[in-house]
Amino acid sequence: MTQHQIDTVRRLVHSHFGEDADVWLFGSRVDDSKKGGDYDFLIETSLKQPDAIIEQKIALIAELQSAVPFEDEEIDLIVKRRNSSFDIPIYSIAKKDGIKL
Amino acid sequence: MTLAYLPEHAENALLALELAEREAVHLAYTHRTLFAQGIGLDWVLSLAQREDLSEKVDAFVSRFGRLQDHIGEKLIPRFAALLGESPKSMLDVLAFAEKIGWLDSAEAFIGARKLRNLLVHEYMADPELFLETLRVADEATGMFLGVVDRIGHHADSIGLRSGA
Repeated sequence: MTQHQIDTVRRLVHSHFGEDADVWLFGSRVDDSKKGGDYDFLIETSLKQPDAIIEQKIALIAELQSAVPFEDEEIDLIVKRRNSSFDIPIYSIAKKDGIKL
Repeated sequence: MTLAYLPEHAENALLALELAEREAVHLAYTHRTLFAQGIGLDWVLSLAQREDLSEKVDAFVSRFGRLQDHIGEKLIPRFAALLGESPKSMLDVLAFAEKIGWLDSAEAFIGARKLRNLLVHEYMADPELFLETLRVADEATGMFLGVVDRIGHHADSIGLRSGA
């Protein structure tokens, strides 16, 4: 990813999911040798309410996809609630193999 | 008698409307039977063991997406053309639909496009978030059915069906 893309993601993630939200890029875009593919992001947030999270998630995808550095790119977001007891393997895989932005 | 529409676009518009109405019936059926189940957290958690229920969710997601695509890509643009408008981008199409009163909010319609991906991806993830996604999709379904209904009424009001 370009620095401009990283800055855009960080800024928008923080504005929707709080300044303390963390974000990782994972999946095919981590490997620069493999060109293309979807952008997969894991976001960890302190937001707790499901309605707020889904609302922010829809808004964030819309904003990212209309931001110049991501125009016409497919973007997938996984949101993990910090301190939630719910856990699935993709959370740890994304953190381990992904890049924290 | 002057027509309130461009007759050369009538056939295309009518075809799109007929298809939309058929898809709306399918979506309304799946929506009704799915949400009649009293969807809650226990229900979401049971999906992993209940093949029949998850099949219903798949049907809902697929019908939801199909009607939405059809409305945005065919139904509204063809009715806009019928009325002599030719919006270029999807945003222009939706803004026109909002202006003429077929759609309450172009923004909500765009948000619902993102919802479909979320329905697919949230499925295997956090059950509480999936539940919330379903709740939002429930509302969006009402919006889609409403658009088809309003355009159908519009078609009737300008005599499109009787004149065809």
